[in-house]
Amino acid sequence: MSGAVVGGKLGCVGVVVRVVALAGLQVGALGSAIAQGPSAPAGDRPTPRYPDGLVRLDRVPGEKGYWGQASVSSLFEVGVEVEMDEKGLLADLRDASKVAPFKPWAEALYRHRQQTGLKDDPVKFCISHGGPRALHTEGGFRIVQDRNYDRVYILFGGGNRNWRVIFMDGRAPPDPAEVAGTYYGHSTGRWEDDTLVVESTGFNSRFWFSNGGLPHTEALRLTERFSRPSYGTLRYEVTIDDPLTYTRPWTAAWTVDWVEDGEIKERFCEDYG
Amino acid sequence: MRQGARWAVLIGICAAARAFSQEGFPLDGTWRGEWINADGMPETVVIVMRWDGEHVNGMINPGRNAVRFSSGVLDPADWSVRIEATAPDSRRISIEGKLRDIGSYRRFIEGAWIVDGVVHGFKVVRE
Repeated sequence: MSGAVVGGKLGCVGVVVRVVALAGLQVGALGSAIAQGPSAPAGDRPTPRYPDGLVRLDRVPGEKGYWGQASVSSLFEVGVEVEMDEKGLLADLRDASKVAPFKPWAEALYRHRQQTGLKDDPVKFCISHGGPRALHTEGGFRIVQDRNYDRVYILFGGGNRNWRVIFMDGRAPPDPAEVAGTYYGHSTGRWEDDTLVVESTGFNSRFWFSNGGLPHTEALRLTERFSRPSYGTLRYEVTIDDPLTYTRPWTAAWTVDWVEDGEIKERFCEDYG
Repeated sequence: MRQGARWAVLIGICAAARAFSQEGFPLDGTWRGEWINADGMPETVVIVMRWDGEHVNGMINPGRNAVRFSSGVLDPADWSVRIEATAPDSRRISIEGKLRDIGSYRRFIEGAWIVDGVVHGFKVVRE
């Protein structure tokens, strides 16, 4: 792991993951003959695929499950060693400049948000999580591949049960100057071998794309890479390119655990205040 | 029940305000306020600013008589703002202020509105 952040936000899901993992281990101990079968721990099972070999990023027919707890609970550049709590608050504010290659105003704003305990986080006002932060929301998510319509949908349990649409039909992204920015932007995707590569533009600047308060502008462009090296693991990598906010593009990455035999959890902000 | 309804309305108002707030470059957007003229009377002013990655561009009082910035600078070390512009009647306008309450939807700039070297009080609030 590239940082010292410990995922703890999805506490309930984490418990589920551990219970399922333990159950799987016990089944494995009972008989190695079924170690690769449906009851084997998800991490030991091979990547599921469609009959034509394409990777399935969602459940296979007849099973339940969803993507739950991430290996980290906030964003920071790959290779950076910083200590944060599950809310994205730095243990030592002097580490602020390490988190990302900030322009001076962006680092000052990030420090201000950290110093004030993230009190202005739009999420506290029930404003949507946007960008990669949505993959950290409580409730988990699914990545549903609609091959009939050449689209991929990401369904979120939290963030007021939102969704994203990724167009896989080769369409060109709209001219950012011609569209009103949104929380999830406009996403187009393609497969590079077993990796789903998604490019997104057209964001508004009304949200924080990390719980720690990393700033961005409407110039934000994201390149996300989703892969599934085993049944139980999703590998996620996101490159943040916002030349008005950062001095260069930078990348964050984490993995997400598969929660077997469950459904994403419905969570509405207004219910929790 | 009545108490619950009040809370719901309050949360709704706060959410609506936040829904239109910009969380990016702190000066981006439209600011409205006033400066105090030599007679002690408030003059309404609207300022629109936009960050291009290097400079703060913008104008004072958009419209037929808009005054475009000749320069705009935000110093994040102390959140000081300095704007220079020249009005159509050739008067030089300098705005020197501090950005306050930067995390808030209603952040504001307070300081001096200087016309041809004469200093006036000034405050604008982010819309």
